[in-house]
Amino acid sequence: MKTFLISLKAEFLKIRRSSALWLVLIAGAFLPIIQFIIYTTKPKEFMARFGHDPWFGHVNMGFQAASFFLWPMSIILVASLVTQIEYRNNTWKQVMASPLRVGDVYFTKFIVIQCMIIASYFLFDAWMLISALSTQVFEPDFHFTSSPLHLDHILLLDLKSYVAILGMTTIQYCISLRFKNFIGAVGIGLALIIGGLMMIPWDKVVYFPYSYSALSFMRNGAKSYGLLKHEYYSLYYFGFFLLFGYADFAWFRKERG
Amino acid sequence: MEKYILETKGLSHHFGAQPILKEVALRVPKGSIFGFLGPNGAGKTTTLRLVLGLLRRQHGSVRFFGEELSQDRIGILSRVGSLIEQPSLYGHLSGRQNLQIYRGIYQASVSRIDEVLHLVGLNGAAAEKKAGKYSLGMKQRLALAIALLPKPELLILDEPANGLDPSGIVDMRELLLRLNKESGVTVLISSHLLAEVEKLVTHIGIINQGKLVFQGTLAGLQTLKATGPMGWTLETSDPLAAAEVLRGRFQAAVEGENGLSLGIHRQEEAAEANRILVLAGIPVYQFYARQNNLETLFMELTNSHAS
Repeated sequence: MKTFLISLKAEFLKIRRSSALWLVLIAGAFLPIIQFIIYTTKPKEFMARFGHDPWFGHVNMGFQAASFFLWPMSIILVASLVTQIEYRNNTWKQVMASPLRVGDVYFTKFIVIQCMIIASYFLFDAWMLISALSTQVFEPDFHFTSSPLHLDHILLLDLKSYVAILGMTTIQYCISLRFKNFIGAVGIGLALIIGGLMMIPWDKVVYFPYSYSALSFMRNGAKSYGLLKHEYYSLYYFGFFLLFGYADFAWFRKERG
Repeated sequence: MEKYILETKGLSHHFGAQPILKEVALRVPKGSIFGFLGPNGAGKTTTLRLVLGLLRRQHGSVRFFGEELSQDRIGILSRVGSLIEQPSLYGHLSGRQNLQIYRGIYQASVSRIDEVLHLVGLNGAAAEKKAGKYSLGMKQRLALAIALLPKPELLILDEPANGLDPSGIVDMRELLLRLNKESGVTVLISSHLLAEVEKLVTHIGIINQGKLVFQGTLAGLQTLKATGPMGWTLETSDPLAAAEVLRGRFQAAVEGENGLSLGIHRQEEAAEANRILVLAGIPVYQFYARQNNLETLFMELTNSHAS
């Protein structure tokens, strides 16, 4: 346990100033800023569309785009960029020749990626708030400040979306650990995301984890705390690939670093 | 107490069908500076990677401090500092931040960071600069600082002089000598810079084509040098005629335009060869015993095992 905590601290130190960290900090602002721009350029249209519950409309609009593109893209980039820190700097050999267990390295890196993804959700939420309140400043006829926020709904959207992407995150982590080449890992991830979007009309889509983020939004996963079928599958994929990835990392490789 | 701080037995390795190492039995005595020599592709890095567990071992055993590596990998590696091939540094972090990562892993004190930065001459502003902006020499120094962080009992350095300028090489040599003398650190250093190693090491291992062809003290190698294959070289206007005249009496081989290499081991034989040539009317411009330094010996050892 001691070496695990040491490794976890080391992994967090490694992401300082990294492109993965910058991505997390910046990506969450992307959609809310676009929303702010379109609200302020066509205020009447969006006031009419949101009616008396602007937060619900605003949050749903943001989460729709995030579920289809932002989360899946962020995941493949974060997973790849975090593992690329070792490949790009040629540091695997130093890590593997240091007094750490292979499992410490594997699982702590995964935890760091998960923390970054969770941070992405909260930053996105914060930017959604800022986006709405900024709109209110420039267009006082919106009702953001006088309407209830539905924070519980936002957090439930976060939670269900996170469960839905957990399987995909784990698969992408395994892929990123396998590929020395950043483009290789990202390319496969992108192809799987596009494939996932194309499969949405298909009834077997529940078996394809790269579709789950979009599915959770489309099937109104945040309606209740109960999990939808594909969200259970996401957890199964998470469990299986976390162990499979460990076996691959620890036992199936002839070379470490 | 264990005599050898690192000992391999029957270490063999192959990539596909191609054998890379053949029954390497490396023995690094405690307190030594062990030069691990060999031409490029001889198997030095493969050996060191196997020793550190960076390659999955196929045959043989690796023992550190008398203990099999797999028995206590964490305990053993916490006493070993290493620098394998190119420096392993996080380019987006400063030199100091790189050390902070490994300080935690090796559980070194906070003050140890400044100690090792000072030791390798990277203190001051250089430590705060991004490692990605370092010159190759500075990267090599920082990598050495990382290897020194745990106050290692054994330091494994693979070609550490790569990228260093001449003064950097001298600094590193002095640092390693000081660490060895004052702190008792055993150093295993691989290199193809023979002159560099000759000035530094107490023991030498020479590997060629995956086989350890010599292992022992530097003094032992000197003895081999004295008793090993030596010879004399003469320069003359007509080496072919000279070889013909000396045939049957001495082994002779033409070297270049005017050189003739003779299989002579004693000064008396050299005098006799010279007398024969003068009597035959063949002018001798120069006649000297070949300098059998470490480099020529290394070449002879590696060449004789190459065939």
